[in-house]
Amino acid sequence: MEDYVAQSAAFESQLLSFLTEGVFQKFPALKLVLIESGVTWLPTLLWRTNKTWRGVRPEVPWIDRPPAELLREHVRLTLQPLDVPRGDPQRFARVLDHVGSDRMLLFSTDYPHWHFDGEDVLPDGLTDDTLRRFMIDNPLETYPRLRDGTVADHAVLRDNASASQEHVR
Amino acid sequence: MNVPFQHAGASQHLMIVDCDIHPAYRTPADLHPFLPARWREHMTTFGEHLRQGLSGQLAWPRMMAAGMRLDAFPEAGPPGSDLELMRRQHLDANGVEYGMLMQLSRGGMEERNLDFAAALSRAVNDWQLEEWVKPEPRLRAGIVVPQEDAAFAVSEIERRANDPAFVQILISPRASDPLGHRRYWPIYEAAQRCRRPIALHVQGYSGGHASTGSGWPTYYMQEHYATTTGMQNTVTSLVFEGVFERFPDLKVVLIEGGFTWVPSLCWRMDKHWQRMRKETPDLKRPPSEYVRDHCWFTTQPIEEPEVPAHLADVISWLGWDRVMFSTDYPHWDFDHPQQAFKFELSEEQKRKVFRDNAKALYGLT
Repeated sequence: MEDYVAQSAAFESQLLSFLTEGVFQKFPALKLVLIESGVTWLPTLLWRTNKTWRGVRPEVPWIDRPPAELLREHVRLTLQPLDVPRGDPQRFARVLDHVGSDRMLLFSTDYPHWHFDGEDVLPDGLTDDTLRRFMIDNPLETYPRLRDGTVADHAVLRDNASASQEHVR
Repeated sequence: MNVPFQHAGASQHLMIVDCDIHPAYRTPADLHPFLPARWREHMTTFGEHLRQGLSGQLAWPRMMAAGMRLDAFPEAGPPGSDLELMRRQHLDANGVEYGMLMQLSRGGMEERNLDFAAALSRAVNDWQLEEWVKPEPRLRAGIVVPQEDAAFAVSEIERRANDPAFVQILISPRASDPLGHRRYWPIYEAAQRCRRPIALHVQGYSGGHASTGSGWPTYYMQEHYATTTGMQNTVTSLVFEGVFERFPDLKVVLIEGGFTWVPSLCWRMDKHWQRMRKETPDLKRPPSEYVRDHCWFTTQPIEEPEVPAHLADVISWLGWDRVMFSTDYPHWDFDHPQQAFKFELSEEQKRKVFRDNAKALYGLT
């Protein structure tokens, strides 16, 4: 349990590494998806990297804008295991406000692992728009191949299948 | 830091408790009068033997004048070594009613020779008393002990237990093992018995382990952030190893490691505990309750959200009675009491954060 809790700290350290080593400048189209360690730790990281960067930017001059902007552009996080307590619909709304973007979070279930959250996987108090963002729009923007249909388009699959059958014949 | 404070004068009439002030030696020889001849000679001949390879220098560049406020250099010696300047520049100027001394270097926390560590610990505690608290009664010392030698640490804590100059016990949050391990329990037992909080100020080299779970940082910007993840892991260890269950009166102060991560960590611990609690049957309550009852947090370096009021949300989740103001004088990322908070605190919130929480915790009147 101690180790599982600490997974998010590992993500935090890795984000600092991506940031300070200039990975996002070298690969401006890179997207980074952090899977299965919750999301509520993110505001602290955005606030703190912004502030520390103002003090130490001569050390990392390639970071040419506030780190929070870079992170909002390049980083995505999956919701499960959702680290917001139940029973207060406002709580998650506040956290999302602190994150400063509804584009960063992606729906996930962790099926078939034993800490699968079932129907309890969504935070309380989500609006329909935000729900659609997490479940459809954000994933499609993160994985544009899905939207382009190169994988999911049935016509493409059918063509591929018949092509391979022809190849067999 | 770069945003002008919109409510200048907000705390001008309030005397404050500063929970993080760093005194300094003019030279290491300042400790000589407090060391037995055998260890004075050892210090002169061999120096320190720390748990990292860069003895006598910082492992990462600190930016800005070796990590110090440029205006805090006295005519001779390093910043923090001149009591007169500290009075004029900070204690008097900022209305400091009490200041908590954080003496981190040469106190034995990082020293590998444990006999030398014990001698250093005793010397540093005597030095704090003679050079700082006696001449300046606004200052309060911490009992600095080497956490890797719990037996000695207990004896040093007991030695100072009746002296009101010492209000807490300093050990390193980057110990050789996560601090929940039972090898450190005698220190917590002594702390509880002597009614002193354990103070964990970010510092140190983790017994040689990398400062992040993903390896050694390249840049100071990473290392600066690693204080935050390190404190999270420390709290997690204390909670899940059952330290607070075993020592119900133990209090822990986390200094300079941030505090906005606390609600998130508590939510995460509670969530996983509900699912996996069979692994830690000694825990009788949700992890967040132990943190709420046993942990206090200092403010510097304060978080500066893009929307300043977001910080108020977080403190309301954490508890306005658990956050204590600190400046980190004379270090480069010093927080000024009138500029640290970028949103308006109520009078009650100001009193709690800037003064009353610390006075209650440390039993100051």
